[in-house]
Amino acid sequence: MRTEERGASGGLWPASLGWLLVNRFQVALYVLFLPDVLIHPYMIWIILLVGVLSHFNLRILSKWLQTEEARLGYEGFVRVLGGRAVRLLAVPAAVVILLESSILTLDYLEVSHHVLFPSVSKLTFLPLLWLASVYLASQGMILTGRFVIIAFIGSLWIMTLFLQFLFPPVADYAMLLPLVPQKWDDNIPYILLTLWAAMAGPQYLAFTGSRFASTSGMFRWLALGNALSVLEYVVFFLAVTLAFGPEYMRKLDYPVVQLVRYIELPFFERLETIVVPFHMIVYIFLDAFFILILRDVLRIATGNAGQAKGFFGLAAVLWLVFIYLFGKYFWASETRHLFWIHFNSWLTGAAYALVPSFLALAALWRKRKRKRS
Amino acid sequence: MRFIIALGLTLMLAGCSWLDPATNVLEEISPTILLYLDAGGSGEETESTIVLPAVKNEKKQVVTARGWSLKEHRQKLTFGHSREFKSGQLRMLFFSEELARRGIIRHLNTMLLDQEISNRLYMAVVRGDFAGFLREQILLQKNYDRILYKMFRHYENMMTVQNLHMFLKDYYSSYADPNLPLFAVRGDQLVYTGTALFRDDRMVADVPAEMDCFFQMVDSEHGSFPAVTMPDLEVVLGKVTTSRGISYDDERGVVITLHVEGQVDEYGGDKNLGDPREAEQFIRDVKEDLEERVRGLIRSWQKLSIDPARIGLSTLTLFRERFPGGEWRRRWPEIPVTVRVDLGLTNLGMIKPVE
Repeated sequence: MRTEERGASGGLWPASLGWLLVNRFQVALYVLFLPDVLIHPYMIWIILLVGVLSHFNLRILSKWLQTEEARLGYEGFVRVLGGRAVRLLAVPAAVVILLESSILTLDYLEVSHHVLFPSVSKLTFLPLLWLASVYLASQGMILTGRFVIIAFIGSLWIMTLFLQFLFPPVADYAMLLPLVPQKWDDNIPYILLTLWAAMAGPQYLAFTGSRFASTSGMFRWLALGNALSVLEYVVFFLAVTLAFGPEYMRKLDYPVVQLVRYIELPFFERLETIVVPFHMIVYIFLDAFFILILRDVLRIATGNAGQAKGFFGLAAVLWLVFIYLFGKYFWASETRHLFWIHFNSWLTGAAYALVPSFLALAALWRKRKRKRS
Repeated sequence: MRFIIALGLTLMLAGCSWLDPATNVLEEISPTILLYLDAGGSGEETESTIVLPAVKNEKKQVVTARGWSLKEHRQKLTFGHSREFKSGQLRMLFFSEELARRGIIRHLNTMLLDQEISNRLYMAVVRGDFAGFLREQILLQKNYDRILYKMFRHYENMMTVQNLHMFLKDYYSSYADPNLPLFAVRGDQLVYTGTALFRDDRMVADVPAEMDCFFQMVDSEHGSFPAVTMPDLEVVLGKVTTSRGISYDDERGVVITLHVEGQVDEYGGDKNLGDPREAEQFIRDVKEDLEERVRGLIRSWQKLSIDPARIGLSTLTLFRERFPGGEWRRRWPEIPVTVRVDLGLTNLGMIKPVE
């Protein structure tokens, strides 16, 4: 816990913040992308299945968060893994954070570019997003974490717009049949992977154990966030399937965004001009969070972990330059774009599967060793 | 510092136009709400006709361009005009019957890809010289394009009204075929003349105006019609509400049940409807006539192997897809169809023929 932040925030995160954090980490990218992958109505069961798996993974995560080491922050990691290993691991961690935040951010910029400003380069909005995120991040980790409440309120209402597609006469439930597959899709491994990646994100909480005021009873909150994500995925998937039908849905990029374009209120149309910018709040939060984590990782990698100041500017600039170059040279065409999302699924899926269990096991192992000695 | 931030924010409030190379200044553009596409003479060429919006004292104009693609049309129109054409406000898309019979998916794809164009774009097929008709009407009624748009919005429940989204949904579904409203230019009038039926993206048949309400009855789960005319029985049914159920089983095939309720609005026949026995007979006649008409419609669709009323969807069950992978399209012409009408008529006793 660093003094500047304690002074600025006036309190740590309550355990109940966990559910919002888990939920927003999970849904940001995949809420837009997921229906591209899930093509048959019966895949709704797979969403639920992966949701349950993720539930158990969160159990492990909360086990780790409750250990004494997790609550200590950097010191705890040194105790569990040793100072040298932590420094070594910081380098790949920085790369992973940069890659994941690039893919997330560029994907969002791509959508807003495609839907709202097709004649403007997508990277034009990167500095604006960056400014907002850096401002938020400069307030410290505690306040950034609390900002998730605003990100949540600012983006959850979007789901209510989709409810109208779930009920007749607009919805024809025959479109969803058959709900029990006669033959499984060949792509099942890929779909499972993407869904697992869609539930990923909470692994970052493993590094924020010291920010929580108390982590007892944490699991309930994490599980609640997870359940809400599953609900959101199910609502969006059902709405899109019912509105387009499984065949037409497959032809569209980002059917969720296309469906937003179809919504018409009696007094307002072209809702995408409101909804897509509002979704940016989630990205401001995520990017601010990533910049702060990157700052900490840079401190550790350079051996300055004990310091309370420094590296924030470096992290912010590094983030911007990395994403700019990444977007300019590796994100040009749509096929690249799909490749990177696939890549991201592997990356964050693997991180979500490995990080909590690795840390929990390491802590357990250390405890046993200490007992024996 | 605060001052600089405030200044920056004020500048950004002025809009993002400084970022955008395309101009969106209202005086510089021509947002058009109506587009008419016609087959343009030879081969692949098509012809776009649009209504130019007027600024201040200008007159509205109807202009036409010809070329291979829609974007080419727009380019040609823009360069021949002082303001740039924008399709962001496009609300109605009309196809000539000739073009509709040739296939329209290429043009719909262009519409879909253009993110400026809403998926709520109304679409229709027109029989006759619509471009010439527009030219005349725009002189007579300045806001004729707007009037047409209002008509589409108003009649959404009574006639076939389709937009881009619904058309493509049916087009891609393996259990449905798309349809569009069909209009005809008759002299100085644009008349609704039924529904154009499509196989894939080509128009193959149409439901004539007098049969159109029977198509609506089968097509929509709940319908309501101010008047249903049955000339054979010399009767007009009014305030008709219908609900439709379709079931399928392997032995009997498709069973369509229509619940029709309404009242007799006009009757020119010679039955005494005050007499219960004759009234019974009358109701039976109406019922049989309704059944026969619906059966006739469906038979004609089976002949063409099209399913505009999404009957195939009823073959799906929770556990089973009976006709996977486009099988429905092949099997549909041979599937037996039973049509049953439950008729409830009120207001019979009021009408008595002159003694």
